[in-house]
Amino acid sequence: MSSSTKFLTLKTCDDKKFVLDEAIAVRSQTIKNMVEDDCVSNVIPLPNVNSKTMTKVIEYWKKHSEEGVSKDVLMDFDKAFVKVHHSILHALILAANFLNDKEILDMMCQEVADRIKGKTPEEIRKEFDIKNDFTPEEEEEIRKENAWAFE
Amino acid sequence: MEKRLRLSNKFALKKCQKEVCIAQEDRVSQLPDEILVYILSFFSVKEAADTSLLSRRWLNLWTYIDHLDFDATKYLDQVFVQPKLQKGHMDKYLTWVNSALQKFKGQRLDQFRVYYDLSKFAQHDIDKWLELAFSKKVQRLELDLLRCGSFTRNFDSCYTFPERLLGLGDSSSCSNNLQILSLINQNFKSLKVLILKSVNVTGQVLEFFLRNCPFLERMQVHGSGTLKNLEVVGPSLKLRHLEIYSCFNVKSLKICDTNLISLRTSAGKVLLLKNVPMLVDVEILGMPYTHLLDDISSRLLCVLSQLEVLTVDACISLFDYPHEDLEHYNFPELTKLKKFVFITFGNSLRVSGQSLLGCTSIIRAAPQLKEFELQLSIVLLQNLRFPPVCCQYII
Repeated sequence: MSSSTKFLTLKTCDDKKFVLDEAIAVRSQTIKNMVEDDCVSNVIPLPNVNSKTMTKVIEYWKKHSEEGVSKDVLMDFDKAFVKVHHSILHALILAANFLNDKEILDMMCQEVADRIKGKTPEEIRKEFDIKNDFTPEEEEEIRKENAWAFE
Repeated sequence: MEKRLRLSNKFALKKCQKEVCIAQEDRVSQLPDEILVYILSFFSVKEAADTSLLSRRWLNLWTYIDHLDFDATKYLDQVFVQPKLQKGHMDKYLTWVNSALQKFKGQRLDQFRVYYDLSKFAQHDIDKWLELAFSKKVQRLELDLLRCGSFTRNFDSCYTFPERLLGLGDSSSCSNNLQILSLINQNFKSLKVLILKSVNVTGQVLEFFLRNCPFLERMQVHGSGTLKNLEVVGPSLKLRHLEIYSCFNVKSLKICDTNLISLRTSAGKVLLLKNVPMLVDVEILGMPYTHLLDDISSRLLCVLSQLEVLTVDACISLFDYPHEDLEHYNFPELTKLKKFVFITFGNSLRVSGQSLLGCTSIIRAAPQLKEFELQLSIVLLQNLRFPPVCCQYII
């Protein structure tokens, strides 16, 4: 096989294989670099990404590579795409980071930020299942220290 | 033993995959530091610092963000409703910024933004903030020290940009800080955006930035009482967007041989434009008792044929002539003009009988015009202006 191959095979950490049009796969800067450096043999291993996450990423890539899709349709797609449990957000952020896809990374980080914005610490903890490991005294101390004096 | 170890590793792996679906685990906190810090960079300093209460993992993350946006709009609004809160709130704002900057551990600053009602009484504090911002190679620096809701602050009570930071001005105070100075001098190089509102800053300081900041693209100066002469000259400047607004003591504003794209100014009367081939977007604010049409046709003459967007703010100036004069007013042709925006006080149309007829001479002179926008500001109290109501006509 030469670097002009149209299709690439991606193998996730749970040994699932995805055959994908190279033009779509190079949305990942990591894969693009591999293709450009000609170090793509048969299969590209993605040791940091599982198949469930990769399925989501490919779904995004395909939608955003389709021709003739209106901006509104894409916006609706993105809106639905980020409406997932925080454990999937986490997996997608790590995957986007590894694949070096800034578009997905930014969108997911923005979503985490949106879920934090305007909430009290208690509400944020609930949203992300964060365990409060401060003692009440410590918490009081931090509150005092960081006090935005107007509150 | 080896076999057992391998087995247990496999078990760990499987367990790990399963956990992706388990709802109760705190996954987000397990993201790498740099990603969490990146997420916190979407917030103002207050919002970011609030996350320190979540858990030990989050305690110090916010101190590494590279956007320091000290926004306190909400509290400005409180002062607006209850002016007696002003002094107390200002002290609290200063304490807050000072303590946040003390905790700050980032190596560089993408943005440093102060948005609060601060006067010369905060001189010492703001000087220190600027020192720190420059030492962190700040890229976007914004000091917006407008008094709550008003147009501009009285120039006498404005904060003054510290010339000594740049090694300008009084030389005796410089020598004391020679070490700091040489350190800071290297740190202007990253500046891309400089926004100073209700800050007294001289032309000398602004020209220093133009000369020494090879990436400076945008400069906005509002309400500086000490700005008298400014020269933006030379093809090597990166500057693309310039705003000189409500600086009522400007004697000359010279813009020559540059690649400026947009210009917003209230100094139309003293503007000298020459060889600015990229300039396509101009906004002019008329001064009291002047005829804006004359300003535009004389001061902007050399760019009129290349302008694509022209905005005229006639809130405090005259924009009409007696009908008989207007009919014969011959405005130079605006060959490429696509959009014309006219801003005036909603009530001045009624009260002083100002008409929109002045616009017609511009519209007549613009054969390519696609859009005419009329913005009506509303004045409720002296010196207080609300965002204008906007009407758009697509021609």
